Amino acid sequence: MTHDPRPLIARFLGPGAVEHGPFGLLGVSPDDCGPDRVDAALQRQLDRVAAHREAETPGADDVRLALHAAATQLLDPRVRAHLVERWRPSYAAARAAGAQRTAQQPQATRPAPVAAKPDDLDRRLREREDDGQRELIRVMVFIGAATMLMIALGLVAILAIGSGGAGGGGGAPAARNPTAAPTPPSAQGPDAAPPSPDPQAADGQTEPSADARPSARVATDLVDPRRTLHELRECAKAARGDPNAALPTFDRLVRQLSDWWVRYDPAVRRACDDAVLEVLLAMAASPEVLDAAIESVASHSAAFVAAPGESDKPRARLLPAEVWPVAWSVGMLTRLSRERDVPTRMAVAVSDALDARLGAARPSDQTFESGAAGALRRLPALLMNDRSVRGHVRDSATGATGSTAAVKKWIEACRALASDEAAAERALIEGLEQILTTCREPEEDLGVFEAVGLLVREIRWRAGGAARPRLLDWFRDPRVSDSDLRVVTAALAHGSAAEGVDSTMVFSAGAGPDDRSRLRASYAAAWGIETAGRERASREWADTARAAAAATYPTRPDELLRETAAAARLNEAARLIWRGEGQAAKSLLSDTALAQSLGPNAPPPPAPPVVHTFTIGGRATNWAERYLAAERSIPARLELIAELDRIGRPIDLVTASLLAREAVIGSPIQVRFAAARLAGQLADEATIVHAVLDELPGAPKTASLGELVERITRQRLPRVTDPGWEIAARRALVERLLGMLARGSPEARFEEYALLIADSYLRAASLEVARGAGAAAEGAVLGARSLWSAVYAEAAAAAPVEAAPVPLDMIERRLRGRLSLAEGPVQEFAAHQVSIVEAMAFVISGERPTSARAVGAVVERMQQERRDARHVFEQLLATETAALRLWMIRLGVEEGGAP
Amino acid sequence: MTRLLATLTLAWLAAMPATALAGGHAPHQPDETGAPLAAPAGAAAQRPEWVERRLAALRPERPREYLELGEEIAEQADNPSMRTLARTLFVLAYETSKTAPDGRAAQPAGSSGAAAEGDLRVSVCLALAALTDREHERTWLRAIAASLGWKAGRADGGARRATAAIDPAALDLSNALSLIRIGEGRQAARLLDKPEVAQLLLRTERLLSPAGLTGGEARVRRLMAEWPNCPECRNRRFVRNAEGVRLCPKCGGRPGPRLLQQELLYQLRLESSILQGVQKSWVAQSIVDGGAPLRDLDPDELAKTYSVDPTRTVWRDGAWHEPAAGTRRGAGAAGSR
Repeated sequence: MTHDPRPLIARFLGPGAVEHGPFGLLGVSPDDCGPDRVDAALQRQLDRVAAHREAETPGADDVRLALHAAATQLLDPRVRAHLVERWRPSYAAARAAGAQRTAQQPQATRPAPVAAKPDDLDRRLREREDDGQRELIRVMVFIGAATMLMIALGLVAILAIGSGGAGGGGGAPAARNPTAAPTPPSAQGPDAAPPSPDPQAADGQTEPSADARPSARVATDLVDPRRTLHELRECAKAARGDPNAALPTFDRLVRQLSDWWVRYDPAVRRACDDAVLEVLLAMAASPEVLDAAIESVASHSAAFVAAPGESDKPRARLLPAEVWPVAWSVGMLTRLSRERDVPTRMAVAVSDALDARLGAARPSDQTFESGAAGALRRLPALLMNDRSVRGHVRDSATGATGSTAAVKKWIEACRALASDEAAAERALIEGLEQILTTCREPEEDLGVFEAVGLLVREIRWRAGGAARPRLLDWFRDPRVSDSDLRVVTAALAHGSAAEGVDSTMVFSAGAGPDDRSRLRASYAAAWGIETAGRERASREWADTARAAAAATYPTRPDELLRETAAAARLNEAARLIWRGEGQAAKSLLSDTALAQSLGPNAPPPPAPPVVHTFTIGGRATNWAERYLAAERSIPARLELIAELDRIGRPIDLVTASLLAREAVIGSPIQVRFAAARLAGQLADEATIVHAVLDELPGAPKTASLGELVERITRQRLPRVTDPGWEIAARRALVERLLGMLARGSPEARFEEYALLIADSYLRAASLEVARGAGAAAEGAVLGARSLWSAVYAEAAAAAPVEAAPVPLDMIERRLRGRLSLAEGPVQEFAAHQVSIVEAMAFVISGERPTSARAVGAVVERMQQERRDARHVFEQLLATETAALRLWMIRLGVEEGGAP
Repeated sequence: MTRLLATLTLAWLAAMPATALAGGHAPHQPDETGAPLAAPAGAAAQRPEWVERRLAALRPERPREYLELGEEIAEQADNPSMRTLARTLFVLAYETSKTAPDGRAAQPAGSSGAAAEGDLRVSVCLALAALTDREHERTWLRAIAASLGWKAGRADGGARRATAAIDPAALDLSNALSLIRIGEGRQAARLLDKPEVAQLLLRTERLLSPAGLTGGEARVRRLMAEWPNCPECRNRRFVRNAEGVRLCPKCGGRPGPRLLQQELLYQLRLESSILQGVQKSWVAQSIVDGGAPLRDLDPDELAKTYSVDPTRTVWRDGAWHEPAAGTRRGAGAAGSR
């Protein structure tokens, strides 16, 4: 134990047990502490712990270890003599003073209470139960009081909002102008003025009644971040002693942090994140308190979780005061999900909370930043009125709780998280696109109108950035309405940072489909996008693509995958060229590190350590010998387990098998617990996973075994009493070990190429690249799935295309069918990959009717090669090469020609 | 003839599995073969007269008649050769529909379900699916039908197919492998003595070698026999001598055979397969399924899958012939289907 165990000891054994060192702990007198007496006392105290309601908790384990350590001390004659000399005076004084103790009053001839006075033990056990019940009552009273306090605060908030107070997202500084009256874009052209909501909003200060929710959040005042950090650390210390008492403080600090993290220095914020984790770990001894603390973190993003039975009701929009807390909460949960050495209960609760909030969009990179960014990506539409809301939509934009104020908060949070200006621009343009494509028309909803104008003015519209090409896409995107374009272009022309845009480039009220193309061309010319891209990058791309398309397919699986990764990179570059991001395409093509890792002369990866080793000798083997020599001695075995924790990794198979056996079937329970705890901490050692797997057939099905397997496999399993538990546990262990050993196999290189493929697809779908072990499989599927959605949308917008080789509805049905057949992550990726190509063929056949036959030939060839393939990697390469050929057609790259 | 059929079947099965596994067929299939047997000419004696008559009347211009005859035969099929014949008819129905004047024949009156889609290809796929007892094949055929527009009775579009039930012997076999690895051969033997467990090991032994070769089962039994338990320490892991407690010199403190990492990997592959594990990395997945390709949803694959020659669509003298050859008596090699 690394923390003060005294509160724990007092909880299980009474306050008297923390006095007088080991004598109080064991309940023996310094005057009568022979070996027999000590053994009897040890057993008695262990029985008391075992009879406690929390006997199965880690806290109980800690108390057991303390008892054994105390017994070990008193069984050593020299140590005993020293301790007797030290504690006898105070023990005698306390006894003489008649202090009230719950420890025994030992006398030389009186036998141990358990053996001689069962009534006495029963009474003490009842006292312990009463203590536990009193504690439960205290907790319930506390929860009730907290609830009353929250209701009171809510009432105060209602009053504050009703009077137009300065709530809503952190007390926006006076320099801000949160209640700007809406103004239409001041387009001067006769046809340029877009219809806009009433420019004279009735009352910029009046809070819309539709948004007056009783539970509207009121932000706390800004506190010095360093003070918050200091308080969090103090809270962690307090929580080790009394988790219950620390909980309200934790709630308060978490609220402060969630309300204001955007304004924190990133280093201080990260330190606060670590401090939050420290508090949670300190509360781990009390499962109920831990649950409440995790809920305290998660509750700030409850708006992401749909209430049951309310899916058919209009969604309430997020208020400004909720924007930063939502992002913080999801970011913090993501950060917590990275931790391995945490109680399973906590890991499961965090994982469940994240699944409810982000679902499949959970980032593989488990950092605060990725989680918060993921939450922010989902927010823009949630800041606007639900599409089905009728009435009061005008008023909901203005004021301190209006959607405009919320968008400003969102912008500030995006900038705080962005690593650079380019990332910030990407975040803002994606947010703007989300509002344009999913929210009400700006002419119907003032909030949308203002949000669009605000975002357009915030975006820098830099050359080479993500915003300019995205705008060009919107002219072709059927999801972006004429009304959207009017408002966007008007804002661009008046008041934005976009260069080269004037009032003649505002989409007019009476414009038709041709005007969209014309205006698009104007913007492309003004910004020099497509021509510049073609000139700079296309030539290089064309040469590389022609060579790749003409190359013979290799035969070895690793070579097939390597060529697939190279083709995926070319296709990613092609997409960038098509979108006008020529500079980005050029950078991708010239990334020498990437090129070297993909080329045939790529250096082999460093050999991963062989994990299945069998060695004799060394410190670990010596440990195994000493452990076996300890035979049935509990103190010796506990001490050796603690020593193994200090020996360090790696753990060889002899040691691992011994530890696993003890963890699974060791006796007595305290040894089993200690071994299981250490085995759980060593869950990243393949030898441990292997050993636990092989000990499973003979293992008794206990809750601790279930926890150990969950911890090792990082999977949630059925209860051990469930008939399917054994199969689920074995399957999970086999999967885990197979994955670990696979990294040491000759096929390990597959993972490296898989990661490159995943990254290409993720970037093409504008998602964060994959990070961490095992990220490739997940990332590849996520990227392919997202890219499929994007390409399918493109195809749906282009439909109908009579000349397409595969009809659009059949493409979608085929995907469903392929997914029903797919087994494993590679086939699942392959299913999406081929559907993407079929959809691309559909689109290109529509764009270039004269090339429809060539497109059909590409698809036919791909289908034949896939049918003939004997390995799934052959299919991947055939499909990726087909995509490359389609890009060549789309970009006008023909044999011997240039774009 | 029945004995000849059995002999030919065994010989063909012995030759098939290695190539089938190397070709990427999903592992742990109860039946390694991917195609029906070629019915020997002698099977003609088993066909009723009405079947012969109806076969002889088939013409490639009327594809639906192939389907209808196949359905009637499938209803009454009580032996493998008749089921094979039904399959052949279904496939020929599809193949002939591609070139027939009216491939999408109007549905028969009163039809419902899949036929209501008005697409003979869908009917063919569903008819083949009804005839197979292999879950994976049935899923594939139904997926083809769905891609052609058939709407399944229950929503299964886009979702992973329902996992087939795990073989009840899978857990015992997996446990037996663990027991062998830790030198508890006697306990492992009790599990492997169960007939269903022994059968499962025989069926899946090819997963124990990277090349899909046989011999895995023998190797497992040999390891089991070599390690009933440690002869020196009886699996206690240590011995006591004048120097005190020492690790057992025989087993080194960890009873059980010394496996190379690669061998352990393939044992895990077998266990993952029979327990239906879901891998989380491409490399692990490749190890488990050997890089099995994703089966495509192309009805043009049916002929190849069921070893049907799509050019031989006319029945004459107990065999299928090409239409032009079929009109000339005795001309052309007779396919023995």
